[in-house]
Amino acid sequence: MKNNEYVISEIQDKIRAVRRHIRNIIMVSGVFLFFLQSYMLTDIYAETVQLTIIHSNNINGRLFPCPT
Amino acid sequence: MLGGQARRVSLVEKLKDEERPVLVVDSGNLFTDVREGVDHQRSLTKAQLISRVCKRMGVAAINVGALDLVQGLTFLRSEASRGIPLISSNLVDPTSRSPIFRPYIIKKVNKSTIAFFGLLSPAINPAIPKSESEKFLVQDPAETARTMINKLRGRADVIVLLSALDQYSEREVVKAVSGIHFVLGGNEGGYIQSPIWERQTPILESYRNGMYAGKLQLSLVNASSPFWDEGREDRLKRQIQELDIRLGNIEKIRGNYHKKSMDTAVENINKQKTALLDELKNSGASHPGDNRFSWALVPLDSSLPEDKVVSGWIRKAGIERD
Repeated sequence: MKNNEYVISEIQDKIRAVRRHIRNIIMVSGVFLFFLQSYMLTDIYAETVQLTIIHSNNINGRLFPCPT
Repeated sequence: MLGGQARRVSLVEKLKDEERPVLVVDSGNLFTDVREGVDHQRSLTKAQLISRVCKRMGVAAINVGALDLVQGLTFLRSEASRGIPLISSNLVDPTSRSPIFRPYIIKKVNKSTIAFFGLLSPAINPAIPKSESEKFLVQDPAETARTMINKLRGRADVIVLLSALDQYSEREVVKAVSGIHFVLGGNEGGYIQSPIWERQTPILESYRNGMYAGKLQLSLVNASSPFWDEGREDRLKRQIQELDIRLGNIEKIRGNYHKKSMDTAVENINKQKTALLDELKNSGASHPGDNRFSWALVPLDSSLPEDKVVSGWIRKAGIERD
C-alpha cells in the first residue's frame, strides 16, 4: 500500500515538473515574441523614408500666371 | 490667374522648410513657347530664365520633350553643361546611337534611392526645324524603357518615368515593361483629379502652362512592397456622395421632364455608384509594411507669394508678360 502511495506521489511530482517546464517555455516564448514584434515594428517605422516629389509638365516656356 | 515661375519657387521653398526632403522634376516641354508670333530671341531669353529658375529650385531631373527640341540642341547642351540635369533615355545621336543627355538620374534620399528616366515620342514635332531634327534620333519608347528597367532594377528602390509621351503610349510602355513605380506625364496637358492607373502603376499629370504643381508624397517602407494610394478611399467616398447629390437633384425635378430620359439618367448614375461601391469594398486596407503615396494638384494661386529673386530676374530681363 505504502509502495503504491510512493509511486503515485512520484508520478504527481513528475506531472508538476512537466507543468513547470511548460509554464516556463510559454513565459520565455511570450517574452521572446514580445521583443521580436517590438523590434520588427520599430525596424519598419525607423526605416520609413518620407519624400515629396514636385512635378510639372508642359510649362511651355511660361513665366507668368495664366488666366484659368 | 494661376501659375508663374516665381510662385513655383515659393511653393518649393515652403515645402523644403517642412521636414520631408523634396525633389523637383519636370516631364518635358518646359522651355519653349511655340505659340504663333513668339519672337525667337525673346523665346530664348525666357528659356534661359526658366533654366535659371530650375537651378534656384535645385531641380533633380528634367526630361527633354519634343517642344524643348524646338529651342535647339545647342541651347539644351549649353544648359546641361551648366549643371541643368537634362535627361532623355531615347534621344540619341544618329551616328553613334549613344544618348545625347544622361539617360537616367539616381537620387539618394536618406536610405532610399529614387531613379528617374525620361522618354519622348518618336513622332517628330512639326515645330522642330529640319536642320535640328537631323541632329537626333528618337528610339522606341517601350524598348528603351525595358533597357532602362533592366539597368535600374536592383540599383533603385523607386523607378519613376518622366514622360513626354501621350497617355496611350504611356499605357503601352507600362503594359510592356513591369517595374515602373510611377509615370509622371501629361504631354496632352489635360486636367486629372486623381491618379490614372495602368496595371499597378499610377500615371500622374499636372495640367499645362505651369498653372499647377503635382505634389506626390511618398512613404517608403520596403523596396519590394507595392504602393498604397492613401487618398483612394476618401476619393471614392467623395465620388459616391457626389452621385447621391445628383440622384437627389434628379428626384426633385423628375416630374418636369420626360420620364424615360430621367429613368435612363438614374440608371446610369446607379451603375456608376455600384461600380464605385464595389471598388471601395475591394480597396481593403493597407498593411504596415506597404509603401504609401498620396497625390494632389496644387494650384499656384495668389495665396503663394512670388519669390522676389525670380521676379527680379524677370523684370531685369525686360519681360513683362508671356
